[in-house]
Amino acid sequence: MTAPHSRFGGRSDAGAKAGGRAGYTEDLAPPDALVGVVVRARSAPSRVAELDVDAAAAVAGVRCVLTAADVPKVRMGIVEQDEPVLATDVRYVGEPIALIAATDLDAAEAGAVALAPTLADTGPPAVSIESAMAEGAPQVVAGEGNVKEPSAVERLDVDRAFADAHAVVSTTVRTARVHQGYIERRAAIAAFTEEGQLVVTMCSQAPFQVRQTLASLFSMPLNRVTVRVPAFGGGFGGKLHNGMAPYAACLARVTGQTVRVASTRSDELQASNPREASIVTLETAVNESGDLQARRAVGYYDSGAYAVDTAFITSMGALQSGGPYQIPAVRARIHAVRTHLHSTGSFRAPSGPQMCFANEVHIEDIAAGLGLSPVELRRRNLMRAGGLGPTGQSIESDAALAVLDEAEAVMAAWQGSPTPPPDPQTKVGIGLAMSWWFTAPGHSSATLRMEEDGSATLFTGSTEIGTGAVVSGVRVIVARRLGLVPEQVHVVSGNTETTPPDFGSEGSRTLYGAGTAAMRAADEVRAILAEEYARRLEASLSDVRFTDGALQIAGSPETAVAISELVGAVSMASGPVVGTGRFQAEPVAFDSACATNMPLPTFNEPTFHCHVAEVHLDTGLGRISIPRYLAVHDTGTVVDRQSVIGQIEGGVVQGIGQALFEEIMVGENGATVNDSLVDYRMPTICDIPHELVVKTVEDFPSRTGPLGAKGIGEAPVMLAPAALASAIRNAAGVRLTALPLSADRVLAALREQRP
Amino acid sequence: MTSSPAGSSILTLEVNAEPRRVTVAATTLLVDALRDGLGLTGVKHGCGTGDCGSCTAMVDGQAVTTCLVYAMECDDMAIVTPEHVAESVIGRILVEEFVTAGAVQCGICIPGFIVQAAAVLDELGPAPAPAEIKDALAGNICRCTGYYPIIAAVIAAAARLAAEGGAS
Repeated sequence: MTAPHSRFGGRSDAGAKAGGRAGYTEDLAPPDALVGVVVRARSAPSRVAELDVDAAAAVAGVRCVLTAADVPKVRMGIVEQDEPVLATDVRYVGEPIALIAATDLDAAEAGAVALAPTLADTGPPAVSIESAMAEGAPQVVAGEGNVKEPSAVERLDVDRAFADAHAVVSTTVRTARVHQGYIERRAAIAAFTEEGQLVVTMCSQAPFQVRQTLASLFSMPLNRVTVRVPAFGGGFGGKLHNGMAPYAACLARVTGQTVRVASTRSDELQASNPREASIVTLETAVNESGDLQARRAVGYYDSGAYAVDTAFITSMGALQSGGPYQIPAVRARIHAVRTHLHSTGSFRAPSGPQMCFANEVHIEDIAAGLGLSPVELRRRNLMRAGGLGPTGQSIESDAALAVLDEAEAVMAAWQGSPTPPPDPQTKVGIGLAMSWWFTAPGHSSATLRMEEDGSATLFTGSTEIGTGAVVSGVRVIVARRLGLVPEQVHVVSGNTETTPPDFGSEGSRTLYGAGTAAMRAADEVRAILAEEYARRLEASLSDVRFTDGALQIAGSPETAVAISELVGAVSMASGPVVGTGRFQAEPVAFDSACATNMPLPTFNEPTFHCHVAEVHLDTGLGRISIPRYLAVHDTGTVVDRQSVIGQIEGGVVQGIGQALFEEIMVGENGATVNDSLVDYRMPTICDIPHELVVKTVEDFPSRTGPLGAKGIGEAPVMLAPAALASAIRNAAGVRLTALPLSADRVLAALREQRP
Repeated sequence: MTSSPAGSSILTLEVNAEPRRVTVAATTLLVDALRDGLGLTGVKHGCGTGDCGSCTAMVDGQAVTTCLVYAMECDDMAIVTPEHVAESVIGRILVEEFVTAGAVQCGICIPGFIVQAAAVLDELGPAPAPAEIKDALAGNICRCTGYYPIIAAVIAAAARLAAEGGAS
């Protein structure tokens, strides 16, 4: 079933954005706002020894200079409260040590120069997982080891299975830090109103979490802090955290003026929350026929200097220790490792790409060892209905098999007629990868107000971050429940003052959570209107239908009464027609005895995915191009097809960036080497597959999602590294175990292969 | 251009077909003169190094990344920002086709794409090949869409422009 759309698709925000008229955070600063800059440490670990505050304050135009002594001492963090607003003991290059507000950016930057920070080095930095784990490594937190207790799963007798195994196969992969690469820099505008309300305008995926942080920083009641989210220029997880809000708010509090703070692109690549680097080792005990019997997984994830949300990410890693495969006995231990680098955090499918890469290189290693077809080995071991996930959760469908069947049919056709390489030194190869992922739990709520003309206004605490889930998907759901067209539903979102709460636009959950809450609000409205209609026509409630902006008895258009008329009547009789919807994901049953340090112990509404890549591998240059690429995704019901396809296409290309070129490179001093978008190379329009085929498997609707929809925001980014590595292996027989699959790595592997 | 004592200068520009005056310092970039000086926020800050294309505007008929140009270099020049491009015949067609194709997700890069596409659409002809479109748009980065709907939108816009016989 396809949603009704106007000519310009379902999104209400697209025309203004395309025409340059939409207001993003930085577009909304009042002309007289002060400009704030964050002064960042240039060496670490270190102690801030001296700051020439007087000299900075004396610079013309500078209005305010704040150091660690001048800002709240409350530490920030959603898992551990460990991160100061401004540091005196510096853990990483780029850590904020002072704030300056001035009448313009030049003056603020001149103030930062005049501040002339003197940092006393307190030792050598640990700038990689290996160096942080080495004997005698410098400790990021004095007195504590850098390797944290793992997110762990231990189920059935793993040692026994390994002792009895026909064969044991081991695979280790390494992956790089990669950045979300949102084009809109993180920015915030803060002001305290005359009434004492702190109002922050910013690009946040989770404004209610930011509100919590700001309220605790300033010891304010939650309802005295407002976080507003205007048009939003991309987040991908990188805008889940506080961003520039604490800095802008501290400066606004002291100056009494509106202050705007924007990150620079260099700061983004030096001091944000990118995806963690990782080292992952998988070992499998397998029998002669290729049944995976036991899995040992050990992962080390570079969490950087502070905790942020790494505890969730390591638990997601543990849940992916076996990939989409059914493995009875599991021992997974995924550790966060502190380093003297900026703190890592969620990036679209946190832990996903590296675990998928590890699992899929590994399954091909197992197939090679046993002389089996890699696709058949996957099929034999895929999770299916009645099976159990790694922590014992019940698998409810055969979606994984259906997804593989769809993909294999296309793969076979491509293998039958591969795209001819352009020259003799280029080889063609076709590879496949699979994964499982989930729809994040969390709370949502909505209120729906019916207007006297029959239109509807929905208030949702969720934030439109670009996916279309709010401006299109949620709107479509409400419209369908009420028999309206989407254009009759106006959505108010992204404001903690005027909307009911939401956990955040993250974890593939926006449509799932906000959509369900909106549907429940619409159902309350339906009940009110249907009751009035049934009373009036002396009809049975079960016969009432919502169609074309009216209620009618099923099959009898002549009984139609316009919603507008009913809204007016109900309002007169008993009060306005308003519905509310509340949502919290149901807990998923699992074997709690097997999981330790797992803040996320199960995959809620799991989904299954398969990508097939055809590559041209230039054996002279190590260069990869991609003639054809297939993405097959278990989406459940598709509510808004254009948005779903958009998530898949965009995710595939973002995944290709992580597969082929993206890597935050760090020097021995811990400073980012490639801190610009020319050196941090993201895919351009010239890097995309020549042909991208997208298939949605819709036969396995979600049990708990709105209209049967499952989350699809993240999974598409997970598979490209694994699928491309598989295709390269198929093309030239080289086994690549590190990301990115850069030309130099590919060439080195080819050279090693030659005698 | 007239100089003032504080080292700033007053530039005279033609902006979106109207004469405008804006006070800038020697170091003011065109993107900041447009955004902060004239309130034209259709040009966006993305990278500051000319690598993402989000700040693209037309300067004397050429699509330019305005974060790489000093405002003072543009004295007496004609600037057209995304807001105004979107009101032109070509721009209106492009905006409609970008929206229809689903090429607008977060959307912050899209005004830059549309200015760049508007600058080359005539040259591309009525039925451009994807490879020609890729060459023309290689300097603009989109992180959301994977570029497929952008290519589709430009193909559709080129066909419409030819069919409607329009010129800007």
